[in-house]
Formats: sequence, C-alpha cells, structure tokens
Amino acid sequence: MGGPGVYPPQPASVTSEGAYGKIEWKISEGEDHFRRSLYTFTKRTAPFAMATTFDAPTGESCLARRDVSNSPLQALTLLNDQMFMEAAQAMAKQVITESQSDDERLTNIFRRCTTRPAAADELAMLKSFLQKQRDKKLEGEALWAAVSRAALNLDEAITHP
Amino acid sequence: MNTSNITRRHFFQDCGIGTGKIALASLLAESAYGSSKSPNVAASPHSQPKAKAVIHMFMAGAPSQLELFDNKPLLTKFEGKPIPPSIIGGQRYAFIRPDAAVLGPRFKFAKHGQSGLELSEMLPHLATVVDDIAIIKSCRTTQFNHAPAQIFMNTGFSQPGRPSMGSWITYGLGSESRDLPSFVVMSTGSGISGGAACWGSGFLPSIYSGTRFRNTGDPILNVSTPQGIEAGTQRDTIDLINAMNHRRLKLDGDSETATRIANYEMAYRLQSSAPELMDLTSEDKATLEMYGCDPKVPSFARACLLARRMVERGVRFINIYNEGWDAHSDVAGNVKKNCGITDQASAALIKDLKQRGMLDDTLVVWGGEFGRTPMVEASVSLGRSMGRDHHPQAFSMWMAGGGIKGGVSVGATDDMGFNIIEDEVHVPDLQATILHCLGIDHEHLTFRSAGLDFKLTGVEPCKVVQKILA
Repeated sequence: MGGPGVYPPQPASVTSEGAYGKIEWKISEGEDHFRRSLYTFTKRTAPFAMATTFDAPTGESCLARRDVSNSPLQALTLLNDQMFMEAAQAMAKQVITESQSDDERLTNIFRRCTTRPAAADELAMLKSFLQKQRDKKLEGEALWAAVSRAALNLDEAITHP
Repeated sequence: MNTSNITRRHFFQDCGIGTGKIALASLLAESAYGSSKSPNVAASPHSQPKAKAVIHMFMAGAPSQLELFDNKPLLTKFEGKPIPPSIIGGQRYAFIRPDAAVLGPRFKFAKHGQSGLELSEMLPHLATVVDDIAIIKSCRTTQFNHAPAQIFMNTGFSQPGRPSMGSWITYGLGSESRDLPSFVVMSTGSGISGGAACWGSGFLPSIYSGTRFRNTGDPILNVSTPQGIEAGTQRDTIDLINAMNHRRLKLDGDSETATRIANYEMAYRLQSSAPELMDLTSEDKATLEMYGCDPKVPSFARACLLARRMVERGVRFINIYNEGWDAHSDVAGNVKKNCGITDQASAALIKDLKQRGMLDDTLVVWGGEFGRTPMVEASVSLGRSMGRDHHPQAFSMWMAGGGIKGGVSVGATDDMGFNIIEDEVHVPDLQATILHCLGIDHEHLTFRSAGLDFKLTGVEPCKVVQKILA
C-alpha cells in the first residue's frame, strides 16, 4: 500500500452515531482528499457511507460477483453528496478556462461526462436548462457547476461507457 | 422499446447478459421502494398475515432480565453464596468465575393488570399496558458476546454477512411506501457492537439493506439539496436528467435506465417526505408528553414516535437500537438509567398504536441479545462491583400487537434464574414467530446463494411460539 488510509468527505453522523467506538471523521486535505477509494479508511461497524450505498462488498464474507444495484439512495448521493458537488465545481472551473461560448462549454461538459459529442436535441436541452438557471440569477462558476452536476448524473455518465 | 434504433454495439453491450438480468432489475427497483409487488414468494403470503409492519426495539448490551421480568426471590435468600456447580455445568465466563456468589434482584416485583403479570418496579409505564404484551421468560441464544449475539438475533447467524430480518421481510413482502425506504434503522444510545452487519442485506440484493435514519445532520444521508443549489434548480436538474435519460431509454430500451429515471423521482420525493416525517409539529402536546419526547432533541422517545409515523407511512420494518444495557458493574444503576430512557416511550408506543387502531397490524418486539448472570460481577482491578456478566442460557423479551396475545407469560427458568426449565425459545424460534405474524412460513422464505437455499432461521429445526399467538 502506498500510505495510510484517507478520509474523503462524508457526513460526520456516519461514524459518530451508533458506530462501535466512535471516531471523528476528519476530512483529509490536499492530495489525500482525492486519493483512490482503495485508500479510503473503512470501519467495520460503520463503513464509508458511499461505499455501502454503491454495493461495495463488506469484506465479511466471500463474494464471487459484486452486486449491481440502482437505487434512490444512489441518486441522492450523486445529486447531493459533497464529493460529487466538489467534482461538479472542479469541472466548472476547468470548462470555464478551456471553452468560451455557451455552446462550447456545454459540449465540453457533455463530452467529458459521456465521452461523445452531444446530439443537437441534447444540446438544446442543456441550453434550455442553462437559460432557466440564468433566469434564477445563477452565474459564473455556480452556473456551470449546476450544469456539470446535471451532466454527471446522467445514466450514460454513471454506467454506460 | 423502439427496436429500430438499436445498434449492433448496444445489442451486444446491453443485452448480451440476457433478458433475465433486465427483468430482475426492474422488479428489484419496485420491490424495496414503491410497490407492494415483490419478486419473491411472499407477494401472496403463505398464511393470513396479522401484522404488516414490525417495530423491533433492540436493547443492545443485554438488559438484566432479573431486574425487569424474571423475579427470583431465591437469589435474595442465597445472596453471597455460590450457585451449586450442578446447575452451572461447564459454563465459562468472560469476567467472573463460575463459583461467583449469587446476587439477589435489586428491585421489587409486583403483579399488574387483569392478567396479573409480574414486572419490576423499574417498569411502571410498561405495567400500564401489561395486558397488551406477551412476555417470554425463556429466551436462549448460543452467543456469548455482544457483536455475534446481536448479529445472530438479527440475521440468524453469528458471523457478519447474512441478510438481516428486516432485509428478509422487505425482500419477501415488498414495500408499501412510495416515499420512504421500507426498512429503517435508528440508533439513539452509544455504539452498536454488531454494527452495520445487523441491518445489512447479506447476499440479498443491497437495496434490501436497512436505511439509517440519523440524529444529526440529514436524517437520510444527502437528503437535503447542497448549499448553493436552490429548490427550483434541484427540480430543473432532475427534469433535465430524466429528459435526457428518457431520450436514451428510447434509443436502447435498457430497463436499468427506466429504473434510474424512477429513482431520481423517488430521490426527489424523499427530499420532501423525509423532512415531513421528521417534522413533529403536527403531533399534539398530549402525544409528545405520553412519549416523553422533546421534538427537537434526538432520543429513544423521539425514535419511538417516529417509528409510529413511519408505520403510518407504510414503512415495513423499523429497528430502534438503544445501546447501553451492558451492566458489568452496578446493575441497579444501569437498569434504572436505561429504564428511564426506554420504559415510558416503549409503553407509549403501545398505547399510541392502540388508540390509532394500528396495534392490531403492527408487531412490536422488545429485547436484547442475551441475558445477565444470576451471579455477581465484581473486580477490584476493573473497578467493578454489584454487576452481572453475560448470560446466554436465559433471558426475557416481550412482544405485542399484530398476531400476539396480550397479557400472557411464556416459559420459565429455574429458581436461581440460571437455566430454562419450561418452553425454551431459541433465537430462530423468535425469528420464525415474527415471520409467522407477517404471514410468512420461515421454511419457505429462501434465497439461493453459493448453491444453497438459505433461510433466516437456518438449518436446525425451530418452531413458531404458538403460546403467544392471538
């Protein structure tokens, strides 16, 4: 292993309530904030919440094949969890630097999430969303983070290569 | 499904695994959330169900039956003297020697209600509903330590990795709630040794895992929209995601995509149904006082009231953990403290369910993972005195509501409270009884894993506790 366990963002209640031997989940900073989940600290009685939500094996018994599920709690995680929010914000920053026009930025975001260019009708849907958010006075990074967040939640972005 | 647009790549990529997976996935998505139909047998139950929901108040740490339900005056007579070795057999203990002296019950017992059931003075509230409960004084487990015993009580096996009772039941019966998870877990005491394995789904699909409702922050993790995202944007976002997913669904007809669309709608509903559930302003003052619940403070009492609200909203199985009964020292103080936390609310739950006409189809279960020794635990080096050690040979539980006869007591222990002498009820018997009340035959709720047809109650013969059935 290349170092000790790391603590990516998760709500404090996961390890402070009901867990046997409470631990304080002090969110890692710097590079450790973004380490591969192989390095995420795990506690048997209170595993990393996102791992549980996305069917990570508990290590408590042998598993020949991982479960694959598709649940409302996963939708809540992908929409609202801090980790995914940070990913959307990071994508917004990068796209704002890389691309200038609305069309270019929307295309860039869509391509990053789905590995293919957006079709005309898809671009139209994204533009309509963009306009609605501008009408709600969103701008700059917040605006593009909102678009990135939606794109990261597409079925095609989550499970379909 | 628009077949004309399916590409060769999509055919091999998405359909190559066979239609079985697709059919299963759409059924699964409906079964834990939002449909009374289930992929398994019990979509039509094996027998007429009496209960449709279960509230299991898990007294983790193991309460002392000798201070609560199982009155043994002889222990007072023999206090300070060892139990005869003939009774103890070969039992070994974690902290005490088998020849440790007997400790008499710390509290007085009295008969209550029309049934005349005996309860300790530490349960004054339960005494007011004693005619509604069935006490089992002859429970037995095979497990000696907290984590394996808690996991055994929940999953029928002492090691982690098997499906929990709540998972089996939601797998078998499906959900009656479109807006909330069907299996909910609350915890209000200190940590639970068994941990997440107590409500895990084991080899059942992971959607049957218990969903934790938490005391601080979001009740369900990530159920609130993140800071900086307005409610309007959240709705627009879900509309956009679902519109684009619909477009994809039309192209390749993958039912997983349809499931995802449904899940994003369900997630959106959860964002309003969870706060609505947690908002106790609609509860009147009398109700709050009956439970002893301050709506703003997380507590066992609040969890009990929330459990009633969950049952009203179609939640199928609810675990409320109160950890803290592990009285290795000062058993009197421990029982007093924990009864202060749990007695009023446990009794209020029965009264509240009854006054709303819900007790007849809600099964309420109260108990821990094992019992406590008739012998005293004391240790100068550990700073312990007047405590009781773990005792798997005998302990007490009670049940009430759907399918259970009120005002009855089943089973008996010997005069020292050490061994069971009448109507032994082993952990799988309890599980079979709970399933029976829900209309499920424990022999026929099975799931194939690793080439075996597993069931909650395992392979040893076990039986429904007929004497407590209504």
